[in-house]
Amino acid sequence: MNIAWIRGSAWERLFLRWKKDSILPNKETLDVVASLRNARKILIAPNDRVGGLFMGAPVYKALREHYPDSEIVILCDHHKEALARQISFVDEVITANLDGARLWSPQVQEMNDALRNLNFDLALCLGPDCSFRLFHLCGNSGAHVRLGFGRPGFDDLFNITIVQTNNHIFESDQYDTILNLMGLQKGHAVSWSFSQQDARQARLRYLDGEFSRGIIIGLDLSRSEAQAMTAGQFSNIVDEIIKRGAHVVIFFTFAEKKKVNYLKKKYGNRVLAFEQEDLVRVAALLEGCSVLVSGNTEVLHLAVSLKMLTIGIFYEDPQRWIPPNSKFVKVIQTNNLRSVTGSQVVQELDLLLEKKWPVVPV
Amino acid sequence: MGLQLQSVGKNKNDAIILKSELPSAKIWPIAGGKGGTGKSTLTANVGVGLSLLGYKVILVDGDLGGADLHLFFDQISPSRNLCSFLSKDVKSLKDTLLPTPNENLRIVCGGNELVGMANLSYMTKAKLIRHIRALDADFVLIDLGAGSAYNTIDLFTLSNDGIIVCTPEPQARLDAYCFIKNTVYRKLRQLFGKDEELKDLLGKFSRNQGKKSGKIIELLSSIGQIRPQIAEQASGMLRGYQPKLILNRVRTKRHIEDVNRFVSLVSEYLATEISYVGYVRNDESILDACERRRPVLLESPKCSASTDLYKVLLDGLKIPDRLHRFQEGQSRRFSQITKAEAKLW
Repeated sequence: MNIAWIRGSAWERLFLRWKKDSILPNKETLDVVASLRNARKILIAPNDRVGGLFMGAPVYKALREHYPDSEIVILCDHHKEALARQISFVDEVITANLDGARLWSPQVQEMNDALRNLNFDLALCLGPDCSFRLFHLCGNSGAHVRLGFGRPGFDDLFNITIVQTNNHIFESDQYDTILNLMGLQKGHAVSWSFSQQDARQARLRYLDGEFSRGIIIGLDLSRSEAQAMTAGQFSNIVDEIIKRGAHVVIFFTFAEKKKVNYLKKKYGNRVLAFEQEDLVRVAALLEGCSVLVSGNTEVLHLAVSLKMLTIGIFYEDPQRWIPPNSKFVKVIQTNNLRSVTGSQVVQELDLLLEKKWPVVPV
Repeated sequence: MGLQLQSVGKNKNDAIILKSELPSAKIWPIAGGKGGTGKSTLTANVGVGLSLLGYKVILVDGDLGGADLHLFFDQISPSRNLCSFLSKDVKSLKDTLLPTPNENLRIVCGGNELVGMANLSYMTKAKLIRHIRALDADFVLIDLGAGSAYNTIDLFTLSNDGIIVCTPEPQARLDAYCFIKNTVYRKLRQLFGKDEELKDLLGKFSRNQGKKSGKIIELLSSIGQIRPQIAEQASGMLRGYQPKLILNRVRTKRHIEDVNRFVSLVSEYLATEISYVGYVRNDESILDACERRRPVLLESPKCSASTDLYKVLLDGLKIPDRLHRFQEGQSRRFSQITKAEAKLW
């Protein structure tokens, strides 16, 4: 994991140390029980890493049940806006482009001011390893009670800090610690589904012709923060899938445009490429895929939430991100993502599809 | 980095049901009034270009009685075409869709088998329009024939942002002007419905055009005196009607300069704001590509016409590249991609 992601860049740390008194919230005595009981306006910042928006759903639900008349607001990255707006337990969505801007930039200051002006009573920062920028925004939101996971060197941002002792447990289960601390019941699983009519329309428009017949495998090219698979590896996977007579739908982000180009150039009309800018649209297309093959990203959690068959390729401990005993997910764990081969992926696909590959004409 | 606060409907259900309604298809009829301005060539090439940008495209050969769009895709004798639909061999227009080597591009070939194909009955035309509207894609391009027959005009006015293809010659410009004028009259006539008084007014106005200034704005003010509400509706309708203009076969800079005069003339006389989206230079490669029955974008991706088409798509029509393969102002990259695509055709 990139240290700058967790703790900010060296310049940002220096900046915080320098501006500590003017930036960090004042320390004050707090009646925790009364403050939590009377929370009318709640800010939730889901983990902006892998699938945080999905994993946080039981928390939103638990909060909605406990605070039926409070205003629950989600703070998320702008490209997840469409998805966040469809979460029925929240009232409002605040979106921000969290990429690139430094802590001292006027934009971040503006954002901080805007959050403070909204006068939140309670702010929850989910995810022990969300980006430093989100961690800082949430801690500086000006909420009366600020609750989040501790981070070495930044104890002053939250007035209730959770110290992690074991981070090898499922991410959603870690959020339960927050709920326990607030005296709320454990969040129950939330089911996600996709409007069948919309999914059908998306399938008819985009998965037509050859793609309307046989097996379609979704392949997510987007990378985790740590390491990326190469275009050659993806090509190897696509090759193996195509050899078995299936078609491939590629999901990519702007960062993988070169890999998409390469695959498109090599396989032409045997692959379909879709940018995952709009996760709701991706969900519609996932409904048309038999299996999704994905690295450590949003699309994987979208697929897991939709209960579709998924192969997760993990560099990190998969226990963090996959629900325990999940029937829908097969995991390929490796210390080196560059060692994953097409045949390895197809082996797992065989197990998931029980060798239901189409017959390839000779 | 900006902050947006958006309200979400409060719902306390246990499940989260995701909804995503796709935007409806953009229908772009392509016409021009005069014959030989390059309507079919541009339809085929704009279609290929859009599909390379990652959009699902359907091309419909709406040149009733003079269909030839299929020849750009090497379909000499297509198994299904518009005739199959009009003669009820197939139930839906969707059933006549034929694939092309690009997974994003499909075509409804026109047919010349039926005698009187160019003179569709009202009911058949209404059925065809209904089925074209039901086609599901990101873009539906309709290649229309020359002239201002009602069938052509009605297919063009299916959408408010059709494309007019015009060449620099005065004859072509005059025909394009007349075509736009006819579409404006047709739209007004449809708006007036069964109001005979307004229809008479429109008839008189069109007949007197040679004697008076013939500005639509004057017609609208006359209508305003009798039916102010309809006059308001009509001017609103004309504000929304914004055909695009592509200048084809450009040979000199003067040709491009003349376009602005044409655009302002249409605006002044027909109260219609056409948007000029670019030009395509006169290029022998287009003729060579036509002879080889392939779109010029694939046949000669580096030629000046292909570069111009790239500019029309990305700069003029402002179509975002869904696959992020092309960058603005870098037509070389475009030609590399199209060259790779051409190998699949």
